Amino acid sequence: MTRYIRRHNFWARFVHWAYAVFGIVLLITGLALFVPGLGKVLGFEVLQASSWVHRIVGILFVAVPIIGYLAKPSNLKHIFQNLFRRWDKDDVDFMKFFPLYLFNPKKYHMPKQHYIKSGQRASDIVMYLLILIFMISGVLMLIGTGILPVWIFAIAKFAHQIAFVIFAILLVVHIFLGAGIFQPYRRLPRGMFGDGLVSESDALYHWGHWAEEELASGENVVEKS
Amino acid sequence: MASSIAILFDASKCTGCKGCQVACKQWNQLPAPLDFGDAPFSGSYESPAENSGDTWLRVTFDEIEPREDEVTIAFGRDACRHCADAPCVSVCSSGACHKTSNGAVAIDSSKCFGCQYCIAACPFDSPKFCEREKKAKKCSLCQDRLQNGLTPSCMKSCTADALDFGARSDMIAKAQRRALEIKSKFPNVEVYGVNQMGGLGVISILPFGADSHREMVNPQAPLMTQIGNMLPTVAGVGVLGALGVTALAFMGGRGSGYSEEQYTYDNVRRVTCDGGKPMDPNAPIVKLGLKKEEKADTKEVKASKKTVKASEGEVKKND
Repeated sequence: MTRYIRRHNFWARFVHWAYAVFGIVLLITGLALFVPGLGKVLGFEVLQASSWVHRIVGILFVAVPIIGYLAKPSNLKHIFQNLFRRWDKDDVDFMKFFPLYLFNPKKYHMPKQHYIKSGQRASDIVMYLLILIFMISGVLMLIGTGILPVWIFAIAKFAHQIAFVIFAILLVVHIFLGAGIFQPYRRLPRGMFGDGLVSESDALYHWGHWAEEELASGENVVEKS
Repeated sequence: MASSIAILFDASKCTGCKGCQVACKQWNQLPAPLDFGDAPFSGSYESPAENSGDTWLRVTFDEIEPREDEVTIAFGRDACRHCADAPCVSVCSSGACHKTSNGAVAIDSSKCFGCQYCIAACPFDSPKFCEREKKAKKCSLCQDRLQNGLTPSCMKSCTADALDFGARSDMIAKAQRRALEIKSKFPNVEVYGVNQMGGLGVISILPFGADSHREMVNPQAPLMTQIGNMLPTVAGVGVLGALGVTALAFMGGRGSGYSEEQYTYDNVRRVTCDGGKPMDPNAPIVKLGLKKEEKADTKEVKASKKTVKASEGEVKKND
């Protein structure tokens, strides 16, 4: 029998995948607008279609996660509690050693972590901030210069572009770690698929403090053969 | 490259009749607000208060310090200036906003999908969003008329001879001659559009100086547009860099990891175990490859190897 811990509930997984799917579609459809030369190569029809898809999916990108958070408001509270929790010595040490661990994981025994690793907390804050920028600037751009002053539109467009650059870079790193391409992280995607469970061994390796609390309380622990 | 053709606007001759404004609307079939209150009073003779998707050319009125008790108005011509270095063209993904063969800047409506990037990029605030068609619109220097051997419609209607049209070099020469002629009467006279934005397709004679006629003294593409044009390169480098880092991390991470049964939690002793043995909570983060004693042994071996080598060397020398 292996023990598993419930890591992400259905609505947390729903919001994650809504952001992931819509975000990637928006990234691809926005690329032709972001790089004018690419738009010219693709041609007007493709560009027009992608711009419409971008606008429609943009609305979904704003609306669907809100539905997810309304369905399970405690998830939002949980996110904020974890993102802004006080950093302890283990958190600081984790951040200090992560760049070295990333290139030579065999040599490092990383300090125990809470529900969200300190490095991921920093990255998630940026990610949520970018999502917020995308949402606000996207809505402003959708309203357009027909209603808004041009300077507001110009700032919104610039913020959208800057967010695009940072988002694209972060996404590469997020996929590398989250999708388990990095060898020690290879079983992590499981937490975001299916039943949202992670094995005892995985939980203890990655989020030692959180796993110990959960395993001690037994509240979210399930046993499977 | 600057346009080969240009409009010449002589503000010293303009009477502010707005005939050009009407002619532009007429030729391009642009509707005007007709209902009561549709064009609210803006505090000046300007009407409408600003350009729009349906008003591509507008005469501006700026009352300046009176000379000899006369009411003096500096007229301006607010329409696309047809920049040589047109920022609207550089940001257009579809190619709708383009340079024509004569160097003017035009929007091909059939290619515009209403992203409005050109509107944000223009230092002169010329392209405007047309709510009726959901596309950006602006003066094209009447490309359709030019192709049929005609002159721009605004020029055709000017009764004060304030507008002229022809080869850009001729218009510049004409403007400079005229500026010299009126210099004594208008000491601040300026020929505008020769060098601005790489050279404009509208050359203006501004008797009271550029500022008084509401022209930007040193127009430039907005800073956000300039930075925005560099961002695709920055993004490309950033993503490639991230891919490079992750590739290196992937190589470094190969063969590392742990089994799904390696770590367990002992609920009785309340400790995490590695392979069944309780883990040391104070274990160092950096795993040392060798224990202290092993390290000491290795040092001794190395030292003895050195001694052997040195003694071998001495033996060879003696031989």
